[in-house]
Amino acid sequence: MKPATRPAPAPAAARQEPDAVAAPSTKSLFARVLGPGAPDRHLVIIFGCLALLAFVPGVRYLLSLLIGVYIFAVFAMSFDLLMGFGGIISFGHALFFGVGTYTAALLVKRGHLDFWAALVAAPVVAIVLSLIVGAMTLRVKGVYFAMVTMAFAEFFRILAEKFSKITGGGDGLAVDIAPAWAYGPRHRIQMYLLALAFMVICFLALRRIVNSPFGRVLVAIRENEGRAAVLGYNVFAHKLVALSLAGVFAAWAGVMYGAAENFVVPGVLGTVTTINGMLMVIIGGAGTLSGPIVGATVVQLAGVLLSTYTRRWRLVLGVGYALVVMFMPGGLAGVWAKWGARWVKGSPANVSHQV
Amino acid sequence: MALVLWLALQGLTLGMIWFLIASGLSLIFGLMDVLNFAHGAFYMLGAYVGLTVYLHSGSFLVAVVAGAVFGAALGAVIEALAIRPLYGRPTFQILMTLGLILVFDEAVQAVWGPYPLVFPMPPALVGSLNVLDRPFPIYRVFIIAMGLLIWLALHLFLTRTRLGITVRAGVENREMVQALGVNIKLIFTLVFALGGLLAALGGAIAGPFEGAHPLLAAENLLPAFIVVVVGGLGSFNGSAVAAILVGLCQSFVAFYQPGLALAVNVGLMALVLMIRPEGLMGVKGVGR
Repeated sequence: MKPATRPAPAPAAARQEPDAVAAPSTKSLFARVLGPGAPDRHLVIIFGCLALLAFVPGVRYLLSLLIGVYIFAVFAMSFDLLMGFGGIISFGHALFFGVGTYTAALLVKRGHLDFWAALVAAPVVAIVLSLIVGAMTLRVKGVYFAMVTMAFAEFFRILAEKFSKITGGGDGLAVDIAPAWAYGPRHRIQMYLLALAFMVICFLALRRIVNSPFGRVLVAIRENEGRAAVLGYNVFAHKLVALSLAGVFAAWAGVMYGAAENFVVPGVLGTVTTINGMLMVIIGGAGTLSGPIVGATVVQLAGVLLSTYTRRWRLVLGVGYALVVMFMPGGLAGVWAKWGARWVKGSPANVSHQV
Repeated sequence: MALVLWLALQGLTLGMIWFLIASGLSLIFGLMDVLNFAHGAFYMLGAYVGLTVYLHSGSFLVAVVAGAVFGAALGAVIEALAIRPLYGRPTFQILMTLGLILVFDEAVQAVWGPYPLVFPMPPALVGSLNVLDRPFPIYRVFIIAMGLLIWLALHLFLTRTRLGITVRAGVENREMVQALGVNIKLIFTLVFALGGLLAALGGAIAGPFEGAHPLLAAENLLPAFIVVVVGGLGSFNGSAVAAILVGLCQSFVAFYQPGLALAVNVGLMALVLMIRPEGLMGVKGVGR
């Protein structure tokens, strides 16, 4: 399945020859702001400041908002690995998120295991599911994949609702997933730090993945599937692995969501969860990893802000999303790459406007 | 035996409703490669508009016509405003229709509220028939009859009228039709309106059977997708046959094994995808 190992082209080299595998788009936000030379140092500063925020007095409410932001940022990044980097549009990504949450809930409630066991078990379940879904659908083209993934997610949502003896059904299941030291409002700071650490680890892991030869091939498949196949890459296998990886990170996000809420309802498997993830990716900017993080922040905080003004805040969000789709296909990251980078570095930027 | 017949009729009722949604979905996809995730919303809006007009006018016929006209108008507007600027960017079209789900969902709740509304049954259609000693509501017979009638009308439209033949030709080969001098953009808008009309008509007709509630869109989109995949994208008769098949599956399994009803249809879809990915009566080359 692995292609003949070729040294991954250095980012600078890739930018110079337009014919090479598409330019590495991970670099677009952070790297452009912070300079490609030492992005890691700046990441340490950003994430360090976010960690210190936990100890600022009087920010408890902000902390609980940010816990949600971090968890959904991971969900959105995993979605983007599929959508932005692989060009695989799934409409059932909530399946993996929700399965993660339910795996955690059921292991803790029925299996008397703990949070850490769930973190190990959830990706296993996600991989098995992704192999089944992928084997069935990845050979046929996009539209079928979109419909079938949605059908699978809905199917599992209905299972969660019908098998109420095990899952609690539509009423949901209250279960203490979080480890004792991060449980409940009294340990908000600990949960915040856990969620932040979780996001940072996932970000670094996903960055490693998209910058690996595998990630480059994935982008090549997105750009021109036939060409990638002719070059000798196994397109199906790469897509399947992408689906599994995205499923694993989404399932982890699901486990964390369960730990933050300590409550699970079938809605986590529903289309609304998928749409939320998609909103975050598109608004932030598909094909970048920083984009989904920005998108998750915007969507989560916009929800809170708008809901203080109007009960129909999702209407505003939906219209805003439609406008982003129509007029800013690169999302906020694309806008930043176009204008912000020029402002920071005084150099024109080029960013792939593909999803 | 009586039970089997009763369940078959019940399945046919469901099948006819899903046929009305799926046929538009399938035609829109076949012609312009747009997978309209918001298609369920047309159905939902058909039920709501039909209900409102029925309560004000008192005439069920007017209500159904109003629902259908609303659906057609909305379809044309959506195509012109949201879909047309995105031709050539198919991914963004799908993303756009997904955003429209959100908008329609919220708009419906803003106008009609979040709670299910009862759609009163037209008095002429109250009561039930005796199907081998089992009562079967007349209203469901009406739904079946309407479904078959619309199927026939659509069939005649697609095979006997110039416009219908152009639409089918467009499904087979869009570029060729355009090269022959047909204004394909106009056809796109018309087919989107037709899809909206069919779904909204279905919503209005099914109103007294299902009521009007915000979940109608999501609940019926999934079976409609299954019907489209099983029947074959772009095939109108395939949608009809598959809708009946899926409706029957749903009705029988729901009676004998309630928890498994949807699982069977998802399984049916999986089977069709593996054995015959273009669907039972799919047009070759569409969707691949």
